[in-house]
Amino acid sequence: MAQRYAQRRQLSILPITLSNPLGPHVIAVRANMGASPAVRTVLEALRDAAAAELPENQQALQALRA
Amino acid sequence: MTLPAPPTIATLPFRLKFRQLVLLDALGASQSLRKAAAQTHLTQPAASRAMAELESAFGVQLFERSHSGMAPTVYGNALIQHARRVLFDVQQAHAEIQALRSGSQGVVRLGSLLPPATGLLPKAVGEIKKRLPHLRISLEQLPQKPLVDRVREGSLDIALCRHITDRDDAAGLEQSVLFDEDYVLVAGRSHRFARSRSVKLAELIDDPWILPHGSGPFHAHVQALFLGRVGCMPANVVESSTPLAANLQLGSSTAFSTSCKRRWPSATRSAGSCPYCRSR
Repeated sequence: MAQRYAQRRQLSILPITLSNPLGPHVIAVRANMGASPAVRTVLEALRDAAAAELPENQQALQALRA
Repeated sequence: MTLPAPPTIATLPFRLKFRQLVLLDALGASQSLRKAAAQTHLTQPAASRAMAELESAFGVQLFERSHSGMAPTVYGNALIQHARRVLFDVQQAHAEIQALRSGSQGVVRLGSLLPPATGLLPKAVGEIKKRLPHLRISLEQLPQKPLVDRVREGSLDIALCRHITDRDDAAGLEQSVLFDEDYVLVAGRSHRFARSRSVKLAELIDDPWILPHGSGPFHAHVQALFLGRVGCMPANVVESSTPLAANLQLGSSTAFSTSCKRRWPSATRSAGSCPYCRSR
C-alpha cells in the first residue's frame, strides 16, 4: 500500500528495516467445503492477481502448476 | 366413460410420472396419439396406457377420442397448461444447474482485510467479471477475527486474512499463502530522512508519530520494536486504525504501514502446517 503512495510521490518510505509480525496473507476456506466451480474460479483469479504483482510471484506460480 | 374416485393430493405425486407430462404436452400440441407417441419415443399402446393412467390419477377425462384425433377437454386444457409450466421449470432448473456446474453463475461470498481489498481484490474481481459477468460476488471488508469466524460458520466462502496460527481458529480450515508483505516506515516527501540511505529508529523518536491502535498484535510488535531498539516509546503520538491515510493529512509525521514488496513464499498448505510461519 505504501509503495503505491511512494510511486505517486505522495510519501517517502524511510530506509529502515522492520520485521513483519503478522505473517503472510492467506486464502482461507473450509477444509471440507467441496468448492463449487464458481468458488474455484474466484480462488484462481485471486492467485493470478497476486502472482501478477511481481515477476517472482509469477515464476513461483508457474512452478506450482508445473 | 366411468372413472374411479380421484386420489387425494397426498397420493397424487406418487402416481404421476414425468413422462406423462411430456406426453400430455405433445398430445395437446398435436392432438394425435400417434404423433405424440412418436415424439416422446413411446409405442402407441404405451402412450395410450400412460394417458389412461394420468386420467385415472386425476379422476377426470382429459381428451375426447374420435376418428379425427384427440381433443382436450376442459380438464385436459387446464392440465396441459400446468404440465407446460412444470416442463418449463425443469428446463430452467437444468439451465441453472449447468451454469452452476460451469461456474458461470452463482454467488461467491468473499471477505477480506484492508490490504488485499485495496489492490489485489479489485483486480481479481475485475478479471472475473470480464469472464463471468453473471457470477455474483459479495464482498465484505472485516477484521481478522470476524473473517475467520464467518468462513468457519459458512456465511463466507472465502476469507482473505492473515495466516491463522491459533489451532482452534484454524481447525477445519484450509489456508494457502496468497502473498507476503513487509512493514515499512513512511513519512512526508519533505521529511529530513526522506532521501537518506539509512536511518535508525532512535533518530526518529522525537518525531510526531502515527501508530496503530493500542490493541492487537501489530501494536504489541511496534511497542516491542521501540522498547528493544530505543528503550522508550515516542511521546508525540496519534493512534489511528488507518495510519497511511492519516499520514497524508499530517505531513510531518512518521507512520507504520505495509509495502508492496510481496512475495509468494509457498504453495497451498493445510491449516497449521505452514513452515513460513513456524520460522517467525
